[in-house]
Formats: sequence, C-alpha cells, structure tokens
Amino acid sequence: MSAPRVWTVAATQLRLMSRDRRLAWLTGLLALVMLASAAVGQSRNAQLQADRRAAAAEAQEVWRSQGPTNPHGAAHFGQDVYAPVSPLAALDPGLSDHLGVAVRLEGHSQNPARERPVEGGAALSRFGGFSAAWALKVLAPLMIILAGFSTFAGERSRELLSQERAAGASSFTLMGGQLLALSTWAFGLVAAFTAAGLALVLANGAAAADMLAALAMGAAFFLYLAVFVGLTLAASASFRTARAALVALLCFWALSTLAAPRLVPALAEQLHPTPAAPVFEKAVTEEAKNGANGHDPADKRLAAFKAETLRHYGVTREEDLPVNFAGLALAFGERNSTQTYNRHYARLFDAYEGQARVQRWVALAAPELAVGPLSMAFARSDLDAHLRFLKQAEAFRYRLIQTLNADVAQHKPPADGPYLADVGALTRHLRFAPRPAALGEVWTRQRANALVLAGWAALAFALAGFAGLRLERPQ
Amino acid sequence: MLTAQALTKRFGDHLALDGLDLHIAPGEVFCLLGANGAGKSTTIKLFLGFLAPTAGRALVDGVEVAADPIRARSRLLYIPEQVALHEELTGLENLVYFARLGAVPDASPRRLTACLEEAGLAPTAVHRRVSGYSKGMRQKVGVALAIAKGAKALLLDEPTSGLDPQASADFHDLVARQRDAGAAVLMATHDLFRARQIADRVGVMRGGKLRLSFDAQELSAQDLEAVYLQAMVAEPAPLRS
Repeated sequence: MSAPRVWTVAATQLRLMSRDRRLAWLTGLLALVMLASAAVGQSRNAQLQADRRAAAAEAQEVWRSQGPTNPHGAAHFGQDVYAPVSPLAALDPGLSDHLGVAVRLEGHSQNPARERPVEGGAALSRFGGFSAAWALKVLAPLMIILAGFSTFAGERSRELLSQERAAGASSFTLMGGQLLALSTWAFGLVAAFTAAGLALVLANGAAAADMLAALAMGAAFFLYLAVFVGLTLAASASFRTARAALVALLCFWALSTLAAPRLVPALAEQLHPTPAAPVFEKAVTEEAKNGANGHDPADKRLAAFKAETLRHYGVTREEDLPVNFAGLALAFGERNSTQTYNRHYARLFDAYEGQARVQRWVALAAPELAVGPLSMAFARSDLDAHLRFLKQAEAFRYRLIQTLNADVAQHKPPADGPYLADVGALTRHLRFAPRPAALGEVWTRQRANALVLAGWAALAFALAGFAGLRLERPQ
Repeated sequence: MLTAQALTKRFGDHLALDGLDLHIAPGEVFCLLGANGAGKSTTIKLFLGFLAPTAGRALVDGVEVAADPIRARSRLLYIPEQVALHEELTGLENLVYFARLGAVPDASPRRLTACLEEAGLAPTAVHRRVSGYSKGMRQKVGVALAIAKGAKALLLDEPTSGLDPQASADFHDLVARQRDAGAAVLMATHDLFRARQIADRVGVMRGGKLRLSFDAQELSAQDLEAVYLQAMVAEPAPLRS
C-alpha cells in the first residue's frame, strides 16, 4: 500500500463528502443536535446540582439546629444526603434519570435511594433516551452507513473502481484511503462531542479526572464508529449491488443499536434474576427487625451481649457499669442490622454484576452493548456510580449512627429524664462528601468492554482490508 | 510493448479467449474488431490484470501482468466506453486525482490544465464539475491523463461508441497523436471506418479467437466491411497473418 496514494484517495473522498449536500446537511444537523443536547444537559445538570446543594444544605441545617435532643432520637430522625452530579452526565445521562438521588440516613435501616429525576424532572428525562451520546451511538452509525454503502458496490462505482485501479492504485490502497476518509469524518463528530465534554468540565471547575474521562469517552466512541466504518466499507466491497450492501448494513445497525440493547436486559434478568424493589425491601427489613436491634430487652442475642459486657467490666448489674449499656446495646444492634442489610445488598449487587457479565458477552455480537456501558461509566452516570454513592452513603450513615450510639454509651441518663445532647456539635466532624471513582478504577471495571470494542474495530478493519484484497484478485 | 502469448481465458465451460498471440509495437495502433462477446473486452481486461489468464500470458513493456499487475498498469492508460469520473469534482480535480493515483511525476494543476487543453477540453470547462460534461468531454479527460502520464500503451475499449462524428474524429486525432509520441495502442471497436483510418493493423475476433489480422490501409472501407462480415460467419482465408 502506498501512503501518498492512500492520502490522495482519502483527501478526494473527503472533498466529495463535503460537496454532497445531503451528507453535509445531515452532518451539520447531527453536530447541532449533539451540541444542543449537551447544552440542554448542562443547563439541566446545573439546575439539579443547585437543587441538590440547596437540599443538602437545608438537611444539614435542620440536623444541626435540633438543639438538645436525645442522640438516638436524632438517629431515628435521620438526615438526607444527595448524590453528586457528574458534569459529563450532560453528554451521557445514562441511568441517572431512573435512579434515586437522595438517601434518608437513619438508625437500624439502610433506606433505598429515592427522588428519581424521571418522576418529577423535566419532560426531557421522562421522554428519555435523547443525549449527545445517544446521537453518537444510534444516529452516527446510520450516517456512516448512508455515506459509505455505495463506495465500492454498484455498477457505477465498479466502473470508477476499474478506472482507479487502471490508473495505478490497488484496491487495497483504495480501501485504505476510503477507510481513512470515513474515519476522519467520524473523528470530526467525536471531536465535537469530546470538545463539548471538555467545555462542560471547564464550566464545572475543570477536574483533571473529568477531562481525562471526557477524552476516554471520545476514544470509546471513535472505536465504536470505526467498527461501522470498517463494516460499511467491507460490505460495500463484498456485495454485488449497493442495495444488497445497504440492506445488510441496516439489518446489522437495527439489531446492534435498537434490538440488542432492549433484548439483553430481559436475557440478563432471566439468567440473573433480581427481586422487585418492594419484595427486596420487605425481606431485608423483616430480617433486620427480627435481629437484635438494641431495643428489645427479651432478645437472646442482646442478653448474651449484656452478659459478656458485664463480664468484661467485672460487674454483675447494669447499674454498676461505668458506661450506659443502652448505648452499647444500640451500637450492637446497629452492627447486626447493618450486617443483615449488607448481606442482602451484596447478593443483590452480585446479581447486578452477573447481569453486567451477560451484557459483556452479548457485546461480542453487538458493539453498542460495549460502548454504552463504557460511555456511562466515564460519564459516571452508570449503575456502578450509583452503587458507589449508596455504599458511601451507607458508610457515612454507619459512622453517624455509631457516633451517636457511642455518645449515648458514654453518658448515663440523668435521673430527671432522658440524656440530651447537641447532636449538631457532636457530629460536626462528620461530613458526607461522596467521591467519584478514580479513573483507574473505572478503567479496571470497563476494561473488558474496551477490549471488546477494540476487537470489533480491529475485526471490522480486517474485514475491510480483506474485502479490498479480494477486489484486487483477478477473476 | 503489448504482447499476448497463447493468452487464454475460460469462464467455466465458456472459452472467452482462445490462445491469442499478439504483439503491438511502440507507435502502432492495433484495432480489434468483432461482435459483442467475441473476446475483445476480455483481452483488454487480461492486459489490465482484472482477469487472470487460464493459460498463456500478457506482457506490458516486458512486465508480466499476472505477476505484477500494479507495475504493468503504471505503464498503461485505459479508456473504456464511458470514462467514469467523480461527478462532484471538476475536470481538473478529477485529472489531479487520477494522476496522483498513477504517481505521475508532475501532477501540478498548472501542468494538468495544460494537458486538458491539449486534449481539447475548453478552458472554461476545466473548472466545471463533470456532472455537466458530455461523453466526449469525459473521453478527453481520459486522453489528458494519457498525456500527463506519458503512457507507453493505451487500452481503449470501444471509446468512441455513442460519440457524435466530430467528437469521434477529435478523439481519434488525439489517439493518433499518442501513437506518434510512441505509445502502443490496442483499441476494441465496432467502428470499421475509424478503424481503417487510424489502425496500422486490424484483427477480427470471433468466438474468443483472433480469426485474422492484416494491415488496415491495404483495404478500402468496402473491402474491410466485406472481410469483417465474412469473418463473422465463416473461417476466412487469412489475408495476412
């Protein structure tokens, strides 16, 4: 293959594409749609962020201004924490509209996240699905197909091909040039997407990790579009007629981008079933309630813990303990109920992981299933980001409640009433500050999807190259 | 320059070309006559390396086409019945494109504009998109490429079919000029009149076989037609082998 000839073919093809009014209009429209949806997403995210900050500040204020109160009463009163808003979710909202953003933290239970944006948010989230990432996942491949299906196929194209070959370029060289041209066009779209991502990150305080995440999203989408570039040109060079190439490519597009993402969840649910939310909640709540919670004096586990505590302090009566046993009992109960919740949640999360494995396997047949999770993961709008928020909220809840329980344990109740404390001052050092997963962690979890996508791109280019060689082979 | 040695092509049971032996020297025009399906286009495609010979070999300037088709094509220029060009490019842009594909040493727009004008394309047409070109104008772009490339051999597959008489005459003038510049020309055609006018030698094919070949100028147009028609229906007595 001759590099100058490849470049000549690519430059000429790009010039032809730029002069194709329909393609130019469609490209402009797609870029406009992507940038407009990014702008709308940013505006919506800014509103969500402001709302959540205000709600979190209000919740903190309510918590701090309780005045003298019983710490365990405060544990039952609870406080709300809110999920962070990722700037890149403006490009790919992923699952964020369908997952709760607020968790009520209280003693004895791990509450599910609530306030899903889809329930009360803008119409955009209720109609669902539309975003800059969606445009790249669904519309851009379609445009690649429309731009490239007749490159080699069809009688007219074959006459031109004969002349190009007779002029001195091999079919392999021509294929190289066409791959370069269509990839450059795809790169332009991805560059616009990535630039929008970087602009969003800059507008939100410019975290280096988010910038790298925007670049990673761009790289993932470029690999994804490269799959369609390779397959489109391979089909164009392999089918006798342009119509046959178009039909085959449209079938693949529809299966890969429309059907597979809707079929895989059903398959994953069949293979790794998860309980419905009310069923799960009922099961875990019942088991937690039936365990030691520090409130039931007749509970045998609590009685054993009390006996052990008395033995530890070398006394025989609760009144002789140097600490308030009620606080120790509450901490003991909190440990038990937390273990129960963690066990149930671990099973649930394992099922989620099993479903993700199913998706990764099916991605071997449908590249959209590899790029979708990659994009959501780097945008931090996927299930992992949500679960990370829940785990951090739970870790914070446990520390908060156990801090209150420890304070109860340190103070015996006065004779004239319950022990009261300023819980705001008591928990001033505890602050919920959820941190997104480090980029390395996201990469580790998404490596399989990235490899599948890279494999698809390599396969598509290899097929295109092979089809180019076949065209060169004399009949 | 163009040599066929027992060149044979079979498509399944169909013998498309049967042991063709041919040599066209530099500065010589050889016209292949014959009905559709006689084997003319197959011969040209074998010289281009688009088809693989079943037996025998085709050589261009000593390069065996089947062994190194790209090198063989670098010495050739191919003009089919309808020169296919990129419709959304101008004549000059098309020529620049094809010249660069052929690694023409000087593919600068200035030189290629001169080549287009030498091929007879009006200066006003050079920068127009070829979607508005007539067939004759397209053929001129093809000839301009031959001029730019300095092709040692021209393979012309019914290049004047459908051209008006003036355009056809202009085209043959251009081919004659390439011949005079030393190019070997193999032209498949149905146009007996032009063949007699331009060809140094004429061959008549039927059923994949070269039935006879002779010096064209030795015959009048009427005689040529008679010989051709006779060759189409029966095994002729060779005029000159």
